Amino acid sequence: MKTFDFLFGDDAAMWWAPVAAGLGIAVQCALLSVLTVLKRLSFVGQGVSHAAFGGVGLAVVLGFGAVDSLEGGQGAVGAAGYLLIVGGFCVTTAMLIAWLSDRRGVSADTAIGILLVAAMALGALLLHLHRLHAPPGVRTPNVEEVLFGSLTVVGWADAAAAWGCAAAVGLVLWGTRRGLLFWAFDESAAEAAGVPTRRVRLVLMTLLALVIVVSMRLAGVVLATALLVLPGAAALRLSHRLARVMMLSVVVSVLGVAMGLVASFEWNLPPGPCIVTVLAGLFLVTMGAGRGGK
Amino acid sequence: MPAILIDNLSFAYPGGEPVLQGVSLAVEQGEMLAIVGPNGGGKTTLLRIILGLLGGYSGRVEVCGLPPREAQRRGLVGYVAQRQSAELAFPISARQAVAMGAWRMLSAWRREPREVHTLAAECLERVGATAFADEPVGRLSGGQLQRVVIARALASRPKILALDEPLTGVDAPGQKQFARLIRTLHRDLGLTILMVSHDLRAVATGVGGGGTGAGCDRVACLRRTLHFHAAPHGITPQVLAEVFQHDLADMFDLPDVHVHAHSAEECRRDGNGAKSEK
Amino acid sequence: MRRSRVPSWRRASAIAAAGVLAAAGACDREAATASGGPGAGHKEAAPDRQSDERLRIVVTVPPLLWAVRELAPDAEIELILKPGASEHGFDLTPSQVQGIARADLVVMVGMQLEPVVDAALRARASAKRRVLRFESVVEAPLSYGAEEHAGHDHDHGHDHGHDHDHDHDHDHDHDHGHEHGELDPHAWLDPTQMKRFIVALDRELAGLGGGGTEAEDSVSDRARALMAECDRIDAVYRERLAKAASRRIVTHHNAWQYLARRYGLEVAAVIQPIESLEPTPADIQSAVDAIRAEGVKAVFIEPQFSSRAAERVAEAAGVQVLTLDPLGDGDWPGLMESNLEQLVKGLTQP
Repeated sequence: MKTFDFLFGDDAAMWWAPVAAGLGIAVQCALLSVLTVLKRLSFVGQGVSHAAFGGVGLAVVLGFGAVDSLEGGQGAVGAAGYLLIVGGFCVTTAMLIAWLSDRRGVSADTAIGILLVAAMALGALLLHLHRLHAPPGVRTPNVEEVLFGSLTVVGWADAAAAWGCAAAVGLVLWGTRRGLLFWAFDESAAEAAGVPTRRVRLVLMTLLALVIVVSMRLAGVVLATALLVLPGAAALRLSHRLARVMMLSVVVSVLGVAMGLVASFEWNLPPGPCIVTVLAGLFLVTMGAGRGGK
Repeated sequence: MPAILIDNLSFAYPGGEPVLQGVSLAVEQGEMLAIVGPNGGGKTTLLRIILGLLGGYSGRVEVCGLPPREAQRRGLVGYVAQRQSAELAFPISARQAVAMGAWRMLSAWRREPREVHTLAAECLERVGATAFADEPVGRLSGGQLQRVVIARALASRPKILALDEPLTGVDAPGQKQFARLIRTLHRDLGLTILMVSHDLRAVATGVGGGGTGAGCDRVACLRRTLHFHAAPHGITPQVLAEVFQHDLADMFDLPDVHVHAHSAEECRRDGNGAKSEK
Repeated sequence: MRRSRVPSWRRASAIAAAGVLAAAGACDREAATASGGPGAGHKEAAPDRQSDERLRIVVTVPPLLWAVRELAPDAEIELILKPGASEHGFDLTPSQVQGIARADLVVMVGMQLEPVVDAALRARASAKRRVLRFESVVEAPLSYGAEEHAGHDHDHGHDHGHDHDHDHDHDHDHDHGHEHGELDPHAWLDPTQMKRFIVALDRELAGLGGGGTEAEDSVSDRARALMAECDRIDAVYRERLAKAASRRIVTHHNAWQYLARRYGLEVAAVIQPIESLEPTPADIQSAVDAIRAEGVKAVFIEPQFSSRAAERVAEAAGVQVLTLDPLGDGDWPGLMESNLEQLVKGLTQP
């Protein structure tokens, strides 16, 4: 099998990095996927990931645009700066979406539509300005580079970042689960019971933004969105118990990434689309089985 | 010390009309009070103030002798919201939903202690929900879900139980069952109970003694100002008929419910708004 | 508060809007002008140019700028391709099209490198405007397909699923349409070719009255100085590369054939295909295999492109990553010198 040639051949070390990174992204997205689907945040995830384009424009202009990789170029400081700026931008966008739809009577999808295109336009403008005025030797990334990534060319530093993020997400979710679950289940009752709902929502949005930024960097926006929606949706069809649903979400996500990567190795295909296809297929399978029709 | 003390409370949302004006009332410990009035009359606002969810009011509000926020922080007020607010697709059982009510007692990092399990089971028992305790919330009927929500409110061991429109969309047998439950809780736990409704008929059928009602001790009629806050008094059937345009014999099968009107004109003026709109 | 379920058509239209905007951002038509470009504030050109009016020259790519600036220091020069952008598939802004229309002289490469400029020239014909193409002086032009493409185990037609025309985002990091038989325009990286170009430019400028001599067989002093510079660079290249232990290089894209030919280097592989947005594992693996098989010591990336894939490949193959710049920022001698340093480093290091 060609997969074995890749993973156990001469360049095994190189090929295990995308696998590790892919699994790290799978886990971090799967953990949030259940909540994303239950709280109808799927579209918010989509909106935020496109809005991240604006954040990247900002990062580039501010000098943290080491889009090439997390390890090449500027190293840890640059990566941290990039993450902070883009992540902060994403969180702000998510909060703006919430604010617009809560307070201003704008419906959520309208708010998303507005902010998504505004942020993308901002990103395009900032990149354009950077292209015009950048100091020599500093390259301006282009649109596709920012929105699309590829698992095939991630390195071990990227994989470490993915797993670090997954661990952080897991930790924060575990630590805030009491209030978070109550809020997610029944927002007004939670508020009345004293759950700090604003803070809880901010935490969730921050986690979502972080996961989107990291996943987008490494695997592109399409794959990031797919991993945020499909595993949770599939898992919810398979079980009624929360602990099991969370676990199944991770299982589905990991399975999707693993099978997608294998397909990519075997049939010489780009890994991102393979993974998304497998995930979609897994979801269809769960539609047949499981709870059915709820 | 009264369970709830409200003295000359006035409140307006920023940039809006006053919603509450000069409201003063005291709810004694262990009392069951129905708060009725028309939609938009300030009932929910009053409830939110008591729950500590709204600030910026003038006047004095004390819950068990504490400011409302502090009382909420200590879990002294259990809240039963309208049923529609829950996300029923959530993959949790009734038992887990009830345990959420005790969230304050749960540490962030460790697993749930035994006591919480026991507490949840006990609350479920009280509301008669043990039979379906492990069903997913999405599979519960309306009446079952309401009981679970009440159990959840009880899980924080409150002194006061506040229910907001508890009988919305509940059919007549359901209303009787609910009334029975409330009465039982009132008696067994000695809770102070507030029931808010825009529908006097719904609340009224649960009012009074005699076995079929919940046994509200008093009824407050609220429409921006407190128009009625009556201890059991005689009520003139004509007044109610004018105010609420209901058939009294139909509505009250309990002879000793008393809603005392300040004046006939006020009844007429306020009662029109309090008519059931279901 | 309960969010309503988002209807799928709204979702679709918002995504479409995003896609349109992404395409618009990608299709950004700005190829940037150098500072001082005359495009915007252009006066209507008089049919007969006064002798004291400045020459208007439009230059397409940075390497050509040096000679033009040196030989016509008083001219108004507009550079179309901003340093940092790739020379393949760039586009023109309306003001640049105007600049071309009103120019006295357009200095370009030709050989199908600048189809948009050709189109602009055709669209606005001008009697007084002259065009100097580098291709007219190139001796023994090379075509693509002379070297092996690494990273592909299938035939040409770099189909990455992202189809672009040439009039698309100019700094795309992939390159396409290099069919077998198509000419390679990067001749300016060979100093002997640059020398010929200088002569032609000198003659052209003389004809326009911008300096230089009219005489057929002699060149202006300035041109002579530039040609001497070319000779000097040529000599340095020959000397230092002769000592190189290895003669094979792996480059980013097909920009180095002329240079390789002149100095006896061999472009062993080109990794540019794997710079596509989603290379397959086999693409990457065959690039690594090719590097190993060829025994090269360095992978040369280019500053106009993302280096992610190249770094990964170099890391796996255990070779170093160096930079070769085919365009520079207008200082051609400086460009040639820094490229030489990198080449020496990549070819002589153990």
